[in-house]
Amino acid sequence: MIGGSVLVGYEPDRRGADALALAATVVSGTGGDLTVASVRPPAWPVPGPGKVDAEWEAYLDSQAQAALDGAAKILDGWGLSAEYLVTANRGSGRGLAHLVGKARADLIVIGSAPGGPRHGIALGSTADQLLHGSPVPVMLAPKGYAQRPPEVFDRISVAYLRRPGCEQAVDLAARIAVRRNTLLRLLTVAVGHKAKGKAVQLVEEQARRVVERYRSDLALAAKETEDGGILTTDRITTEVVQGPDAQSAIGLAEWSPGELLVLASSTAGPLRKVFMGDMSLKILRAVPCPAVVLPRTAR
Amino acid sequence: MSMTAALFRTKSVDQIVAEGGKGEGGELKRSMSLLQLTLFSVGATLGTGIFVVLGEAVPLAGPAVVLSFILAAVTALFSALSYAELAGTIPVSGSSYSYAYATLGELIAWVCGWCLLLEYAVSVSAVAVGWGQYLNEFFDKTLGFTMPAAIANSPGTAGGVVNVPAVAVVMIATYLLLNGTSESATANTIMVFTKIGILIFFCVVAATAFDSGNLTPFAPMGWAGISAAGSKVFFSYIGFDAASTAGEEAKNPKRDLPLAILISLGIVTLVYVAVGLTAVGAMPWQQFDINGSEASLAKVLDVATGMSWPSAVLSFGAVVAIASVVLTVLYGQTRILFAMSRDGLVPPIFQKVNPRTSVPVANTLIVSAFVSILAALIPLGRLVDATSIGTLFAFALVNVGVIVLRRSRPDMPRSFRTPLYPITPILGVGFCVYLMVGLGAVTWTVFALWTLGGLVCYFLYGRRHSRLAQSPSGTREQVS
Repeated sequence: MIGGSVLVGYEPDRRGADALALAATVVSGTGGDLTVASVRPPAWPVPGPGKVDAEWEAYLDSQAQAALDGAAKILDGWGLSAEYLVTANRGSGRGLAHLVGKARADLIVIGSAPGGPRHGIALGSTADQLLHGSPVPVMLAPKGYAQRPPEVFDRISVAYLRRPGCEQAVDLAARIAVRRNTLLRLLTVAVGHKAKGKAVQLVEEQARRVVERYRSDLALAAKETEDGGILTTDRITTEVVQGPDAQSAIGLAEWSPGELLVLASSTAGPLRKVFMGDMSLKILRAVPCPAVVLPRTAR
Repeated sequence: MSMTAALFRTKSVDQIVAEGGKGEGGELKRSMSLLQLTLFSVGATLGTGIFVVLGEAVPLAGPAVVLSFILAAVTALFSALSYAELAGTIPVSGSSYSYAYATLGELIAWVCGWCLLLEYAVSVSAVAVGWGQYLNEFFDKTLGFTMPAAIANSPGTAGGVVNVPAVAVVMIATYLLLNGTSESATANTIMVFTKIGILIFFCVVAATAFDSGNLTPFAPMGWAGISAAGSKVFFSYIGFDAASTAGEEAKNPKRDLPLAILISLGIVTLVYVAVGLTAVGAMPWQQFDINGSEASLAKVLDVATGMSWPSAVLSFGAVVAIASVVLTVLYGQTRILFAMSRDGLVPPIFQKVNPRTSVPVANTLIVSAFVSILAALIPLGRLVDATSIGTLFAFALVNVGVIVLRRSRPDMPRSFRTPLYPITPILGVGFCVYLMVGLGAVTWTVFALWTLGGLVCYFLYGRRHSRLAQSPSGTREQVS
């Protein structure tokens, strides 16, 4: 069960605090184990003239240790205990992915990258590396999550499109909803262009048809989820939000304070780089709640 | 604390060991076999010194330069064993500076660090200059043009004003280092094979023009010339300490480390001797010009074959290989200054790291600016000669350090003990001093001036800012 053992990527800043708070929310529901990890840059991997970077390495280790001590203080304050690991890797995301086995983790939790808008989820290099190579689902905290963490997740949403790969996300979301005893919402974002003059009617007609199709897809998915024996229909809601772009559509949807979004990564991308749907990325950037992404590389 | 006591205060070895290596990066697996250790060491040692050093060494020793290579190899062997012992005793320290600090005291450590500045920053400037000349050689042979002398040479040589290629290669290396790039194991393997391939290529081509008449007289300058050239070519063995520092990873350090050091130095010496022998066999030693181009191997191929493509191939290999050396040596210099800054001996700006990449940015920029200016504007001449003394001095100190630590801390656990103690470290010091003595009076004067400058810096800054000075017990305070 996801959340049985959670690996948190920690840095002594806003990101780290957000990730810790989110991980705490996760294990509050599952009673799972926590592992907090700090990834530091490695020393020169090949011999140069002498092992000149020993002191630099020792320094990085002590910095990482100090960061983890800070994390331990925060978790102690919440009455949580955890294991602490330092690893050396050139990429923080790859470093975390390597630790999954050691920590026997089934979920990696990280914060949002710095920069960009003040809210929502920002994907940085750590997230990027994880989404391309993590063997387990990756959970991302929106910025400032630590300032207003909910007690529990009170609804699980899944960004739904009738595409291969999405059933996995629905399945995961449904399991979490059952486990947490919450509602499951299948959410589809429909984006239409703004039109002017005569075209308006045409575009509106088109949009209506798209939304109709999404509705029936959603109904079908909801029924499948019910048939899968996971949830009953009264626990599943469906919603189509429509807007000129993903951001405004997401803004029109209603979000509960303890919402958790589940997203699949597209399986159809011809290149590894573009594996994640353009729409998924746009949704991620706009959502006010934490999100779990199923990387294509997830087991 | 009295003045003398302050000058010879040492870092407590126990505390150094206790401070380091808590993270996963610090726990190394004992996984390296003898073969791996040997290859590791050959890869680190077989450097680019050989590409630039013959032009300086052959005029000193004549064809007997091959004996100079053997002399330098023996010197390196003893020092490598001492390195291995210190690396196994104080694994969290890296350079000869740190070893000197733990064993011989602050003043000598400072002088050692100051000498490392010669070994790294000054010698990398010289190597960068050599890079420019091989690049020019390559352009000349393939595209038929050379860069104008004004931008291709340093002032004072052949009408140079600013050495642009030297600055360019330093800038590229700086850019990579600032991005947290480290040479990957794969890149290193490719580089090692490139270097070996190019050197074999050189030997084969030069051998076709071998004329045994070129070998007589064999040692026109006698032993004095051989030892003087030996100290010059010692520079091309730098990196031999790499296997020593891998002692923590060796499966069986007691047996494999000395063997790996011996075998790898044997292999490297064999390659160097082959290169030296075919070079002097192909081109009369009088034609190696001490003030001329540093691209001496390319020149030999020109003379030997009368064709342009062999030297083009060689130049290309040299350009690639020297660039990677510039990167590693710059890296080494920044990390040594980082360690010195953490000890308070150089200003704290050298230990400021970028929070995202953990790269000491200011440190890297200062070092590369320093190296660029040296390479671009200063006729290095004698200062480069002084690097030989500085390097040999630093290695002599490592040998002394072994003896000191055996006497002061016989109880310390040592993963490797140098065989035949105390003969090996004493011979190590002896050979280093012998090579140092072989260098000319002018070089000694330059070295003395350099050291004097270092001492002035120490007494004006380092002595008062030393972290040991601030913790009265004489041991390093805990890093916060």
